[in-house]
Amino acid sequence: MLDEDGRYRVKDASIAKRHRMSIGTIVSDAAVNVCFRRGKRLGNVEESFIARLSPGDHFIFAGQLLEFMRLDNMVAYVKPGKSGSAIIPRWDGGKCPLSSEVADSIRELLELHIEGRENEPETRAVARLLKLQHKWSRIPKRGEMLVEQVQTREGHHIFFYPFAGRQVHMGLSALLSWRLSKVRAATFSLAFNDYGFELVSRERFELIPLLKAGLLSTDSLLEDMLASLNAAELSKRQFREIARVAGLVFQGYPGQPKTNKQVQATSGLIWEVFARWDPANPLLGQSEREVLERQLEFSRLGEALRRIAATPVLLRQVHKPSPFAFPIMVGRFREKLTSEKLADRIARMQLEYDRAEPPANAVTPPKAGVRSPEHQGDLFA
Amino acid sequence: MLECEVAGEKVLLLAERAMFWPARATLFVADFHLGKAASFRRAGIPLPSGTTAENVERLGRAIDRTHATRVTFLGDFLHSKQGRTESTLDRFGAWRAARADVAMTLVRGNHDAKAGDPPAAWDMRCIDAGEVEGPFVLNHEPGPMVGGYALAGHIHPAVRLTGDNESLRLPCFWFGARHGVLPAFGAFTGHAEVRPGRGDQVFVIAERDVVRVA
Repeated sequence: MLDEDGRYRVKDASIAKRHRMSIGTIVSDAAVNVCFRRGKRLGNVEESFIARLSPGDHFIFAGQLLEFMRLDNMVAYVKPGKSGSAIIPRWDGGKCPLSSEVADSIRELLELHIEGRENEPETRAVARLLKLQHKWSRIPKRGEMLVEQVQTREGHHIFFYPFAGRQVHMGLSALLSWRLSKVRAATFSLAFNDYGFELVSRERFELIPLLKAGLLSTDSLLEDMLASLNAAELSKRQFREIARVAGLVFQGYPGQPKTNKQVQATSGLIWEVFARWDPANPLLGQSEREVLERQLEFSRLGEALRRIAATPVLLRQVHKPSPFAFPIMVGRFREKLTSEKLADRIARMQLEYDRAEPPANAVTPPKAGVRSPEHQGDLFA
Repeated sequence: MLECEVAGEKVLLLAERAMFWPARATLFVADFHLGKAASFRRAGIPLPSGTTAENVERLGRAIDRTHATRVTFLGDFLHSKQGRTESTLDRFGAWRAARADVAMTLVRGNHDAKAGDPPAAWDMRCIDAGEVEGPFVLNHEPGPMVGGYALAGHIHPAVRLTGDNESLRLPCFWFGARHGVLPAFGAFTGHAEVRPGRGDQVFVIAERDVVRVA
């Protein structure tokens, strides 16, 4: 774009064309067509699902048991599967957060359950788990927030159960781990669901003095939240959408699709370039804002934190993860937040070796599977 | 700077993403990608400027720290024809003029084949892959070569490190039994994850340090 007699004009028609193509982009996961070998199309499924399958895996799709063969140019080729266990594709349903009304009624139901004053079929179905939860730890009443601490092989876990919905928990987990990491250098792994969230670290934190010192306080909420977003690189992920709409990452012309993985790599790289050489760029600000508003629902988060700050905390030390804790622990979606020096973290990590490779001093041929990186989303390679 | 032995030679690995060979006072640099951001800007993608300035400044720092008298670029020095913009060329040209005492060699890589050789005024010797220097064969695309231990770049190697509960991907130096790969030098370059074999020497770049991981 160039300034000519006081007006901005697009000089190059191809740039204008590309820009028009990017306007109004609805950013979603790329869809992969699912086809039989002979070419009969069954439908499409998200790339993120197919990416997790390896050839030979079975999944259920279009009412049939299918065996995944290969992914080629955004088409997943399948054949009818033999009987056996299969994976069922899941869509984003799990990402839809609990509303505070639903959360409140769940808590009410739990409270009534402990008091033996309800008889709903759903609670009956999980009655044994609830009993175990109450025995090992506690089922919190409406006026309490349960916090559990437990040690496993993975490290020290802290579970919080504010029942405030997934999005809010994502924000709270980033916020609290950020505040804890300021107390002492540490690396946290975060996980969350609709009921609560988990912080895992290598070292134990004594919570009572920290809670008294305002771990859950709403003071400087916005500043801490922004700092924790950057520490957990949440806004970097959001930037992918923005980079796409802004035309920073080119999706390719229709009919010549590139896979989403490559775009991910370059939007991350572009984010790094912006963050380093143009930190005041409005697009970076936009990605922070979008994370706060869309992903974390900042206003609800503030409200939830205010409520939590006013609620007495029920802190339990547990011997093994409670029934409440378990689904959070096994949740696949994990974030990281660290205040440790990189070299310290490397010291306790191990290199991932090539499993196919024989040990000892074998010759390493150039890896056929390694795509040369300069082709990743690069227009000129 | 971390000292190690590659092909029987003592070399120093720099967090600036370069390798120094004291026996010949030579600094090896792979995948400089001069003008990459500029070529994106040329195509209408508004990237901030500053990457070239940083690249040049970092290269200067590596030369100062090692007192290298020669710099050998292992391919992909210039990113593309479109990236040969006046401001980029001027910036590097001015830097080159100030460092006229350092002999520079470019082993042409796949990008250089399309982007063309650097301007003659920069006084850079341009050669094709395969030249032998001591125990080393200068190369761009990694792979064993006849005549010695092949030094290359091209793949922008990074390795994954895993711990109990965490995982990191970091750019690395990767030395196998018969050939080695240097990390990409350019500031605006991505990485590709590689899986080294047992017995390979691997060093990651962790901010200002080089750390041996295998």
